[in-house]
Formats: sequence, structure tokens, C-alpha cells
Amino acid sequence: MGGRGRHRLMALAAAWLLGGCEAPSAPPAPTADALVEGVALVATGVAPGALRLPDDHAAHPRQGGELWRLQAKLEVAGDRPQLFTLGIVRLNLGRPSRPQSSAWSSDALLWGWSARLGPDGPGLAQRRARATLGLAGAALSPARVWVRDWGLALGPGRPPWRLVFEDAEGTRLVLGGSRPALGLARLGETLGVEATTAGLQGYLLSGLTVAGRLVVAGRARPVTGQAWFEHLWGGGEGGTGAGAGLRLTRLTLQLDDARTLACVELRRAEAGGRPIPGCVLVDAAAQVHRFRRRELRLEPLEGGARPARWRLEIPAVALAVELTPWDDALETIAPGVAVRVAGRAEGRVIEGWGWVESIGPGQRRRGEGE
Amino acid sequence: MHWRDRRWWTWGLLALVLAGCDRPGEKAEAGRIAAAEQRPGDPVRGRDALLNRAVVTCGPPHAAYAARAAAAEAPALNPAGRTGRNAELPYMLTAHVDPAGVELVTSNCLGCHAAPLEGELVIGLGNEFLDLTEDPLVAIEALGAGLAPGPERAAWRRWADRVGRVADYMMTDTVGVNSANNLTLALMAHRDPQTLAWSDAPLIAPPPTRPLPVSVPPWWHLAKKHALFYNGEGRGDHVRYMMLASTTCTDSVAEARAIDAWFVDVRAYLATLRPPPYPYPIDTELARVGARVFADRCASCHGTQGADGRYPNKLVALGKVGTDPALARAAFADADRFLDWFHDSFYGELGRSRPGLGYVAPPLDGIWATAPYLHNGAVPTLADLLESGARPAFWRHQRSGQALPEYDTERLGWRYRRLAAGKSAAMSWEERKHIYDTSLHGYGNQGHDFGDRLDPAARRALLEYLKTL
Ligand code: HEC
Ligand code: HEC
Repeated sequence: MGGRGRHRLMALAAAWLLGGCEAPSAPPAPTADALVEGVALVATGVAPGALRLPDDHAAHPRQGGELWRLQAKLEVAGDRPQLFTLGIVRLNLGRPSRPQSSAWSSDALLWGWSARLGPDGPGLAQRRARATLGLAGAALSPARVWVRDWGLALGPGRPPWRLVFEDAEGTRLVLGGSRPALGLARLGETLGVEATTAGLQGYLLSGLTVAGRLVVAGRARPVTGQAWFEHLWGGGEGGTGAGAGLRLTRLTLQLDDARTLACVELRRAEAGGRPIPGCVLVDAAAQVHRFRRRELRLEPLEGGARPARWRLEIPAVALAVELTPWDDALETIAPGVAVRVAGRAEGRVIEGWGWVESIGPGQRRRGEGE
Repeated sequence: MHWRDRRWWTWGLLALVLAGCDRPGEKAEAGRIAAAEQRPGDPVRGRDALLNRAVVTCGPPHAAYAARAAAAEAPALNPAGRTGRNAELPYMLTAHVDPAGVELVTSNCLGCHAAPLEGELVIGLGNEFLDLTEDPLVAIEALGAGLAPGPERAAWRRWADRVGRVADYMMTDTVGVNSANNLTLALMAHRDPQTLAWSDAPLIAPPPTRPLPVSVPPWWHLAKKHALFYNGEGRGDHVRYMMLASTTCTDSVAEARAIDAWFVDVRAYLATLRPPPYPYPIDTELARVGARVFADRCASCHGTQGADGRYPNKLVALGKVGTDPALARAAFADADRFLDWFHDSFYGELGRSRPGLGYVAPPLDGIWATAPYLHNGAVPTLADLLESGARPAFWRHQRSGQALPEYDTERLGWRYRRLAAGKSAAMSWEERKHIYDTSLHGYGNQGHDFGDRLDPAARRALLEYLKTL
């Protein structure tokens, strides 16, 4: 992202700072921009840097924007499951600093939000702080990112993973799993290009199990569940801001047979052109399978810039599922839409859950006039 | 039969009536192909036009192209005679200014019909390393993503939408094989034959989206060949066939006529091309022995060389040549709608498309340079071609990254590796796309066993002779 991109980031960050305590009305656009640019730049074929964990768990100060996020389905004994998402965004406010070994010293804003959707109804919480004030930050060893009382510990550098989220109210979620990290370049490859670029990098840890307790309105309840975690960064040096005019949709789906599907669809924001989908399937044995445009069918079942109803078919693995919104309430408070997955895989009925996020210019919330 | 014989009249009339109905289904018999007069042209002007004039009239705006990092590199292998902006562009791209004044970068014939050999670009040598397996759509969208609304974006859109429509007919699953003839059919399906107007929805059933593999024939055969294409279907005037595949954005008869006017020069230039000589040592004694083997076993189909050489222009029936029948069969049996289209269009005004159930035995001039062999490129070297039992069922070129493989002066062809298994055993797309798998439909390496009965010494001598062509 060049100077133009950085101005966009700063304007957005300033808007949030000045925005008071209201729930933010837009998804974290800087990451969205970075994502779109990353995919657009994929086409120039610059090889991405190799993933270096545990270092890459921590912040990337030279990059303009960054996102740590976990998404989970939590089971509470004797109740309906709830979907839970937690994200922490870091935004550079000043010039990116030189890389540092332990943390970073540039002027950065951290913004965290969590959204819950379940028996107690929807719930949103958020935290914001400037990193320079010490109220927020990211440390390398042990890898950790925090905003006020929220802390996310990350590690180690290779599976089995152990990630812990904690807040001052007493919520504590421990995530574990042993599948290898999926580099974002793999997802870029599904779009039919060799490699992704410095424009956007990241990784996905899929097939995680969750155990711990969730505290809501002072009431603590033990929870178990499934989750994935991802960490994306981009918008730093080397980009060109070429993403304008494209809309990227990401669909991350957890199937109840332990498989995870990470799909992307790139399409022109204006009418016309052909959508370009691609998927990565991580199976229960942690094998990664990639499917390109011509090997799958992915189509929205409703109009609008941010559809939540989709059909996905991958004939090679006899998979055909439909996505429907999990609950219409959540989309207004979290970026993206939580979805239920239902369909068939190799003749068996299959279910699951996931998130669908569409980012790009001219985006509107679902239901707004198109 | 006497002409006054009543039966003559009856059969004659019947034949006339049938010929009337049968017009589009007109097919060729195996055997000699008669010469067809070609329109004259100026080869010097033709070379200049081939190198500098756009036949594809849509493409990304130069501004969008230049914003890519790769555009900053000096073009490699650019042949002499590229002028103006073209001197700055890689040889497979040609600058063009559209009616709105937007400077475009368009593709040209040389992307498929030129290739480096011994460090120099050889115009007319088919590019047997082109990678048509990559999905072009992301790169196309990325090129337009930074363009603000206006004439440049409109120009980009026209090209992007057009290529987007036909991309699936061009994408192959093996690096090196070509799909240009399938692309031609796809373009026909989207055009009105009378007006050449484009239709986003196909007007006749489009060709399959899994193109049959074809190798790119060298242009230096043109002076000898009476009919174009492997199955000999390109009868009559050659110019308009040559234009057909490349007129991706020629949407009116007036535009096609304008291109035709200078393309006669391009054809005249192509007919002057000669193959590059074999650059390594030749055992001339051995070659002389081989020449006799050739005269004995091969010349009846492939013709003879030299000043008094003659080339018979033979379409050899599938049953006789025995090579993979899929390409010839598809054009013979499943393509009548395209024959109709062709004959109803500007492109068919001066020619007759007559597919045959067989393949033309090509001239063998410069045969050393045009590996891999057969119409589908299934046989990697000449040594393999002359001994059908030695042909690899699964193989890949031996190369690292984009570098070309070394030339194998023993077997005559690009160095390759024989593999134990085909595509289905490959773990990744990257691996899969490099494997030539002769078990796939259209990729077969059978037939043409005319070298099998030669003893090893005769075969060795014949190989040596083939270097001299
Ligand atoms: C996308 C690759 C591609 C492009 C671009 C292309 N061609 Fe071809 N060309 C082919 C292939 C493949 C064949 C063989 C088709 C067949 O015989 O079935 C062919 C065949 C021909 C032949 C017949 C050769 C013979 O021996 O029968 C001529 C002549 C020719 N092309 C000229 C041109 C000209 C002139 C252009 C530019 C206006 C052009 N081609 C652009 C791939 C291409
Ligand atoms: C009965 C006719 C016939 C005879 C005899 C014959 N060929 Fe062929 N040859 C063909 C035909 C037809 C093709 C094209 C087949 C195809 O592409 O599927 C061909 C293709 C070839 C090719 C590949 C050309 C290319 O560009 O890929 C070579 C090389 C060749 N022949 C050499 C020979 C030699 C050497 C002999 C003598 C041992 C010989 N042929 C005998 C008919 C014949």
C-alpha cells in the first residue's frame, strides 16, 4: 500500500478514536483493504516471505494493519451452542518503525471486539487503546497481544498449539490443536496464481478445540467447543494500492466431520466480469487439498454486496452445502455474517458453522437498499 | 458410363440435390490435397506488419500494463524491426491505439508462433513451453483494479470481459500443449457469422471446456502445404484462417476486411520462412545412409528434399497412421455447426473448410527443432517417434523453473524424464501440470509405427539424416 493507502488507514483510525463509545458501525476496514490488495497483488507473482513462527505470532510493525482473530462454536452444558468471535486489530498511526525484536515503538492503535450469539442473545464488547500509552501492545516472547484487560497469549512456534484468551471479568478460553499452520499463500494459490505477496500475509490454525469458562454478566459457565484462529497482516511497504474495484469474500467453514474449509471469492465490485472462487480443505488428518475455480462451484443465493446465503459444491470430494445466516442479529455487531452450513458430503448429511465476510469498495450491510 | 445414360442423369441430379443439403457436412477423403491459389502479398511489408500491427484489437491499457513491476524490465529476445512502442514491449505483445485514443497492449501471433532457440528468437517456431494451465482471470482483474472510470477502464473492461468469456476454452491441464483451435471454435460460438457481432451468450453450442491438446506447427511449412491444420481442413485461401483465431475483438465485417487487406502480406512473409539449420555436428556419411532409408520408408508420405524435392500433401487416414484419433474425429463428427458458421462468414468467403478423418503427413523441414512430436506433442523425441515401444507413457521435460530444457543430440528433442505414473499420482497442481500423461483423452502416443521395423543401425542412420532437413 502506498501513501494513498496509508492516508486511508489514518483517516479510519482517527474516525474510530473520535467515535466515542458507540459500537463501530463498520467492519475493520483497514484489514479489509489489506486483504483485497493482497489478493490483487497476488497476480504480480511476488513470492511471500516464508512463515516464521513463533515470531509471526507477534506484531509486524512495518505493516499498516494487522488482525488477530479467533472464531468458535461454544457448547454450554444443557443449552444451545453459541458462536463467539474475538478480534484484535492493530493500526499504525504514524510512520512504520524499523523492525524490532521484542515489540514495536511506533504509534499504533489497538482495537478489540468480541461478539457472542447464543441463548443469552447477542452480546458485544470492545476495548480500544493506543499502544504508546502502554495500555495495549504486543510482545514477542512469550507471544502475546493485549488491549486493556484483554489478553491473547499465542504459541508455541509449532503444533500442538496453545492459545489462551483472558479478560478481567474471568473469561478464560484455552485453544489447542495439532494441525500445521496454513499459510495464506495457499489460499492465494486457489485463485489460480502461484504465490501471494508482501501485500498480505498470514496463517490460519484450524481444527482447534476450546475449553474454559465464559463469564457473561457476572455469571461464569464452563464451555467446550471448536474454533479456528487466524492472524493476518498487510498494508506495509511494497504494495501498490491496486485492490480498488475488487470485492473479496472469505468463507471459513467448520464442518462437523472435523474438516475445515477456507474459501475465497474475488469479484469485480461493479457489475460484470466473472467471479473467481477458490478453496482450501483441511481434512481431519491435517492434509491440505486445494480446489481452483474450475474444480468447484460457489455462488451467492441472494443479491447485494455482502450476501450471506451461498451454495458451495466441490465435486471431487462429493461435497454440496448451503450456507444460511446463523442469526440475523450478529451481523450488525461483528464484521461478517455467522452462518450455518448444511448439505451432503459423500452421500452423508453434513452440518457445520462458519463466517462469511465480504470486503471491498461500495460494501453495504445486508438488507440495506441495493 | 455414357453421358446419355439415363442413370447418369438420375444419379447426377440426386448428387446435386444431396450436395445442396450436404454443403456444410462436406468432408475430405484421405489422399492428396490439391493446391489452392493464394492471394499475392509483399513479404517485406508482411514482416513489418506481423511485428508491429495489432491483429487483436483489445487489451489492457498501456498505463495499467506499465504499472506492473515486470513491465519495467527490458524486453528479452525482441526481434529486429520492432518499432516505436513495440520496441519496448516483449515480442509477444503489440501496441495498439483504440478508437477512443487509449493506447493498448495486445497479444499477437508470436506468443504461440515464436520461440527461443540457441538464445535467439525464431519466428515461426511453435512455442512448446507455453503454460496455458494458469487461470488468467485473477491477473486480468488485477490489471483493471486500479483504473478509475473513463476510457481506459472501458477499454480494459472490453478486453477483460471478452477474455473472461473464452478463458475456459483455452485452459489446458498440461504445460506446453496448446488450445488455439478450441479457442477459435469458442469465438465462433459467440459471434453472428453474418455480421461478426459479438454475443455474450453463445449463439451455437460452444466447444468443450477441456480442449484437446495440440502442438504448434512451424510456419516454415507454409510454402509447401496446400491445406492448413493437422487434419487438413484449411482449404482454399489461407489468410482468413490465420486471422480467425486471433480476431478476438474483431466485431464487424468492416474491421475484418481491414485486417484482411494487410494480412495477405503477412501470409506472403510466412511463406518465405525457412527452418533453422541443425547447430551441432552431423555425421554426413551416416546421414547419407539414412537418406536412403528415408527414401525407402518415409518419402512416399513426407516427400523429398532438395532442389528437385516434391512434397505430396497427403492426408493419411486414421486407420493408416494410427495416431491419437480424438482431434481428427472431433473436427470431423462434432463440428458441423462450426463448418456452417465458417462458410456463412466473411472468413469462409474464399475458402472451404474440409476436415478429414486423418492427419496430414507434414513436411519434415527443420524437424529437429520442433519437438515434441505428433499433432498432440505426445512423443518427446525423434528417437522415440521411430521406435514406438520406446515412447514414454508418462513424462515431463527436464527443466528448472522457466529455463528451457537442454537439447538432447542423441535422441533429438528436449531432455525429458520418464515417469512411473501419470497425473493422478501427483500430489500437487504444480507437479501435475508438468506431467504429460498419454492415458488421457486426446493425449495418446500410439501409432505412426513406421520406424518400428527398422534395425537399430538403419534407425540410427535415419536419425542422422533427419538432422539435415
Ligand atoms: C494461442 C496460440 C496461437 C496463436 C496466438 C496463434 N496461433 Fe496459429 N496455430 C496455433 C496452433 C495450436 C495451430 C495448430 C492448429 C491445428 O492445426 O489444429 C496453429 C496453426 C496455424 C497455422 C497453420 C499451420 C499449419 O502448418 O497447418 C497458421 C498458418 C497459423 N497458425 C498462423 C497464425 C497467425 C498468423 C497468427 C496470428 C494472427 C496465429 N497463428 C496465432 C496456435 C496459435
Ligand atoms: C503412411 C504415411 C507415412 C509414412 C510412411 C511415414 N509417416 Fe511420418 N507422419 C505421417 C503422418 C500422417 C504424420 C502426422 C501424424 C500426427 O500428427 O498424428 C506423421 C508424422 C511424422 C513426424 C512428426 C511430425 C511433427 O511435426 O510432429 C515425423 C518426425 C515423421 N512422421 C517421420 C517419419 C519418418 C522418419 C518416417 C519413415 C520411417 C515416416 N514418418 C513415415 C505419415 C507417414
